[in-house]
Amino acid sequence: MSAPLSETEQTMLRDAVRAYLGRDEAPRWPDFAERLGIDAALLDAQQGAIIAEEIGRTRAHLPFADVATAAWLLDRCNAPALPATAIATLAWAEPAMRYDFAGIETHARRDGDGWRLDGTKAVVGWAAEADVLLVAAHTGADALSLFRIDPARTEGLRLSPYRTIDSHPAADLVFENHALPADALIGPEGGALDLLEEARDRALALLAAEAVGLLDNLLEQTIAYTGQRRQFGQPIAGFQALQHRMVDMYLECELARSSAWLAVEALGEAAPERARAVSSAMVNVARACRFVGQQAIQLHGGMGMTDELPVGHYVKRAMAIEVLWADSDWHLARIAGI
Amino acid sequence: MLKLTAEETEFRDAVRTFFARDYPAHVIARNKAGQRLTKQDHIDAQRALNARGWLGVGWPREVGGTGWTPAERYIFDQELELAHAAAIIPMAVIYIGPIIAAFGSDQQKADWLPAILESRSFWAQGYSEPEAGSDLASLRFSAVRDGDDYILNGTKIWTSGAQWADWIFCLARTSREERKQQGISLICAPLDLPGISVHPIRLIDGSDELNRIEFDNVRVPVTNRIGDEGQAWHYANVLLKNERLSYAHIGSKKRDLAKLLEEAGRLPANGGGTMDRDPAFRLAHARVAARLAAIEASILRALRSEISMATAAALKIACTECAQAITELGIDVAGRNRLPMLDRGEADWAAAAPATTPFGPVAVQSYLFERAQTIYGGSTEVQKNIIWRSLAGMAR
Ligand SMILES: Cc1cc2nc3c(=O)[nH]c(=O)nc-3n(C[C@H](O)[C@H](O)[C@H](O)COP(=O)(O)OP(=O)(O)OC[C@H]3O[C@@H](n4cnc5c(N)ncnc54)[C@H](O)[C@@H]3O)c2cc1C
Repeated sequence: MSAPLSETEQTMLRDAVRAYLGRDEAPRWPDFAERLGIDAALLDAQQGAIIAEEIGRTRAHLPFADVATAAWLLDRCNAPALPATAIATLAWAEPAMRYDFAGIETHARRDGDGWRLDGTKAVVGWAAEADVLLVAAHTGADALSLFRIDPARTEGLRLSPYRTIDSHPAADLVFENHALPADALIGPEGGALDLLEEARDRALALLAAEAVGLLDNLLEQTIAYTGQRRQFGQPIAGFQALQHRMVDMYLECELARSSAWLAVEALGEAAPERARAVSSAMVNVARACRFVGQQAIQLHGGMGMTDELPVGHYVKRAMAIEVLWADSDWHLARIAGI
Repeated sequence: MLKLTAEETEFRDAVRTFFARDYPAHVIARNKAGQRLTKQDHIDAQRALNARGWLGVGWPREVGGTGWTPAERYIFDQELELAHAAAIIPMAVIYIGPIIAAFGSDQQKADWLPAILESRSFWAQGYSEPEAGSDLASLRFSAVRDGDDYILNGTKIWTSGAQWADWIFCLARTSREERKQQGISLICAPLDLPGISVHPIRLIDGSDELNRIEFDNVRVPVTNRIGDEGQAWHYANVLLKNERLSYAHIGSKKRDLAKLLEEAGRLPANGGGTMDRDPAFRLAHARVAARLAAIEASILRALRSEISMATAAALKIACTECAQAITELGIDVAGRNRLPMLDRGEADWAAAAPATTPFGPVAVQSYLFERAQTIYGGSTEVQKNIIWRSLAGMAR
């Protein structure tokens, strides 16, 4: 891991990302990765959190957390790194499981020198755009392994792309006797579980940081709207009921910000401490996403229900963040050790 | 007092049998699957009700209505919802029909009411304006007298179902008075008149059934006004009084809660098994069910007695927040299945996202759309202002 950034370096990184995302044109991944030189940030959660927060603030459609998670896994497995401009994403979730990796049913069996892969992966972010897919599969009872897959090799791979509620691209994947070369296996055969657990916590820390930017923006939009919207001869922000509601939103935003720090700093801890801290953070982030999202719509009245204003789109990204890797109940169970 | 009488129970059974036997099954099937209903579906549904004499709920008998007691009306609503039948689009049948019956001219009753019952005309409600939402009385939409006509100008917004409607009833300012609630008239217009343009508004759930309607020098005869000039605020309040329990939807809440358990039985849980066995989900479900039991009892209490504006406001808050809590349970139990955004008009989700249960997109889109329940019909905040005015009186 690189040395921690100084305050000045952090500010410089934040300003650079903000300037890039503030341009008129929609950001595109390879250009974003290249122009900002994010190679180091893919593996460094402190830098990553700064980038993720700005992505959240602007609701940019960029696979930053997906690519960072995949890059970290490749690095940990001593697999050749990808150029930062490549899109890589991890396919883990399946229709017959909820959030526990133990529920993964996709499996790979040896076939000559290589492997054959069978199984279904659900709602894999950026799968249709990806240059590389990392797929979690069983290679024996209770033995999870990671495979690096080239999605251009479509034989035995059915990919159904669609948009998710946050307008991000995703796809469902069905592997049927999909042939893989010997070197598709990365990392220790059957030893991927701990790696996946750690990768998830890293991804969650980035999501927490993204939520901070996202929720800050929702609060700002709501303050601006209620300050300008007039009913009963005055700006509706003049009603104390709404003032207190926005204060409640602010309190949730601040706890989400502290939660993101908690999660990022916990990534260096031993597994049990890391898990407890990250899950504590995410319980609060999920609560903030729910509350701030609901109140932002409510305080915008009918306008909050429209596709035209950004509010609804921010709310839907917040709704995705709540469950992308696990939900609040899963985190609570992990904290409680049940 | 919370139990049905023997006659009411008999009535309930008759209604139940009707929906099981004499109501279009394809409408129930589409509704159950969470697909959007077409206009034709609504026509089929309304025709079945009308054939039985059950469409004019809340209308007096002499104009073809059911003449039901509030309790019978409630029982009917509940059975309709439990059967997954189509909700009656309220604009014509529930909102304007009873006003026409009470305040309309004989000609208006003869022209408009049978057309509604026979599904020949659908209506839209033109109350809200861009600058007049919660503060409806500040509306600016104008009707200026010109001989035997009114000339209508202005913008109506959030008009539900205008894309299907043949007519719109509008609150229009016919004079400037000291109190802004005065000088407002209730004027109807066919939506195909020159000068009217309907612009769909897309909502966050992907629907586009709300509209903005522009009126540019639209001419309608004075005979399109319902009741007296300047009295619309009064009529709207009479309507409000009649309809104060129409937000209850106890039947659909029970139905949706039951459906959630059923869907949970198909969703995998952490550590194996299915979500209907998941303790956290079951407790959350029980919490909402307990709330609903108290709300149902409150509605039954209200049915059997006169209720104040404040009580009606309190019930509106309780009912709509409970409906939202149910949709929250829905997205919670759906988990990652809430993520795909699929077109609800499409029949074949399974092909679009083969690894996702179709319940997910339905759950998330319901959650998003039902956020509106605490905004329309008087927002929660506005209802609380009404309730507080009555509580403040108690302190004096
Ligand atoms: C799905 C949907 C369907 C609709 N269908 C129709 C229709 O068919 N016909 C029609 O005419 N209209 C319709 N409406 C409009 C609806 O009635 C309005 O949205 C509603 O009156 C609120 O007005 P607004 O949207 O302008 O919000 P605003 O009045 O601007 O309210 C914004 C926020 O300010 C709060 N607020 C306002 N005043 C106060 C106060 N005094 N104290 C505290 N808080 C306050 C509100 O509670 C809300 O949170 C529909 C709306 C929706 C969302």
